Amino acid sequence: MCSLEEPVLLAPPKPTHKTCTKCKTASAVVILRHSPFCQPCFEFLFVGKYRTVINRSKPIQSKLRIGKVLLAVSGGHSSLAMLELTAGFTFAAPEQKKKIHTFGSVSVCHIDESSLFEGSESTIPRISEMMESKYSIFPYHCEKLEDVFDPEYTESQSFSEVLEVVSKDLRPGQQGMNLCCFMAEISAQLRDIHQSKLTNAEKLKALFQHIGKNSAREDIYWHLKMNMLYRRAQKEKCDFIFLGESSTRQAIKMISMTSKGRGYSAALDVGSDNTITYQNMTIIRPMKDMLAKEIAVYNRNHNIDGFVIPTTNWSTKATSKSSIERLTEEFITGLDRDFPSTVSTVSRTASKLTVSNDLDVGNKCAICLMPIQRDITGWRDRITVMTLDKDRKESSKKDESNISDAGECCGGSENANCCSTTSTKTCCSSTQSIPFLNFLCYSCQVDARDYKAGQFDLPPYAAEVIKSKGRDERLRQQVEEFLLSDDDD
Amino acid sequence: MSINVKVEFSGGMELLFDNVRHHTIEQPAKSSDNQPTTLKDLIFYIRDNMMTEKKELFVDKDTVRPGILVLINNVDWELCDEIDYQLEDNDEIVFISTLHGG
Repeated sequence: MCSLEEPVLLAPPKPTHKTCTKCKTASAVVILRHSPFCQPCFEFLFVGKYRTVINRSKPIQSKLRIGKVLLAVSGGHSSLAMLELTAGFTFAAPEQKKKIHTFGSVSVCHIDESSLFEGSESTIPRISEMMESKYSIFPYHCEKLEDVFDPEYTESQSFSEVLEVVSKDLRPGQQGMNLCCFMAEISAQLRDIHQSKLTNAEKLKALFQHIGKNSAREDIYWHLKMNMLYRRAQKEKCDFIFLGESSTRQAIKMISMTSKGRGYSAALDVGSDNTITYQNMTIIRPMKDMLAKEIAVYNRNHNIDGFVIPTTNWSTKATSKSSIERLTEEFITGLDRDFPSTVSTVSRTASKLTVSNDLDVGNKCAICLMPIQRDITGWRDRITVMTLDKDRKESSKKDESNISDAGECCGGSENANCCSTTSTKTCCSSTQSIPFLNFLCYSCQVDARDYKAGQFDLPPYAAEVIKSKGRDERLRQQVEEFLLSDDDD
Repeated sequence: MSINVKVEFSGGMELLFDNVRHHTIEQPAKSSDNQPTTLKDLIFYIRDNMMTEKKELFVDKDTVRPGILVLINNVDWELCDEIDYQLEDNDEIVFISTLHGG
């Protein structure tokens, strides 16, 4: 009989010992998306996901046995699990004579970013120790993030110019200096790398000190890392770069990238492979179907969680509102706790995205190397609420492409920042200022809004993109009159 | 009577605890209202006695923050009543931060 004193049970208590959904005999040790699994079945499924991505990948299968792989290992959970899985995948016991070697060779690349964060130790000794003790079968390369300022890390591998960006102070009340027309206040020019006496580490620090917000910092930090990985892979003549992005990270990235205005190239940043962004190089994400939880359990079972290097960056110990990425992470993981299929739904939907038909691979953004959407400047102007001054409106109509010409930057009555710098060349000299923002994709343009007043350098690889684009444009102009336009009969 | 519980922080969680990964925590076998000590009591004990700052990065309302995996004797805590799990002597509790880095 029921009595009023008896507590009402809304949900039946969970049984403490569940059996595995797959083998139905052993007791479960982990729950994934409502389904309990025992240890061997979990292991089988986890390794199977990795194999499926590799075996179904067309770029890998087209270079079977000869493809060279570069594993990007940051020292986080996901990349360590990827390293362990790849080691297991490539290992063949002496009796396994018929085992087919899918990869030609595998090497590991780690980027040490400790110079960027005060008080953090170099991660290279820990990675070296792990590689030598546990994965001595793979050669490894450790890079330092500041070396992105080295001329070696460019397409030509010897491009020795940097892009000097001058961002002017936005003082309210000044003519035409409202926040909406931020782009008028940034000018840029190419400069020889040897002019500056700063070390690479100082240049890197200066760059990040001049970015006001964590979201923009994280973006540029990621682009620099990606560029370094690509250049290292190029040097090693690799065909594939393996990134250890988990399903959870893909879902977070998808939402945060959309909100940062990166939707145009989002299809290239998620999904199992990207053959478009880099020439002769494919990005593969073998961990794209594994949840962060699965990866942590796998690492624990394989005793590699002790090798995990805690990341030290702007979001370490930061509150959830410190950046868009961090806030999205909080949103996705919070939602996933109550609805455990959130992550896989978002990331599986995202991996169905395809790129737009009008995508022009040659038109790359100088910072992120992703394709730029056509007429993006015009589009931005249409959707941005602007209150331009009358005279400014006229001048911007006259010369829409060259927003920040040298005349404007130095012609003012005030001693503008860019002319008072200690650098030997000012923007008034022979080097012409570049319409910097026209070389950026929409998302990087949005990030440029957070540049603080001052002067800093962007790495040579960005300068190289701008210079080669300028050259292409001049060539096109020279032969323009000989080209047949579509309107001609 | 008291029980000893081995607690381990991993995957970056140790940053919140002065970079110390392994801890042994002594807990009374019964809580103040004469109920067996649960994982919830342990989490609150850790929050109140072992953390000086950034407590919100470990605890969210009355449970651990999403993104932290908890293993009780190497078994997912979702199979063991989560925060209502009754602690036993020599239990091994592992908190692993699953996010950040990758």
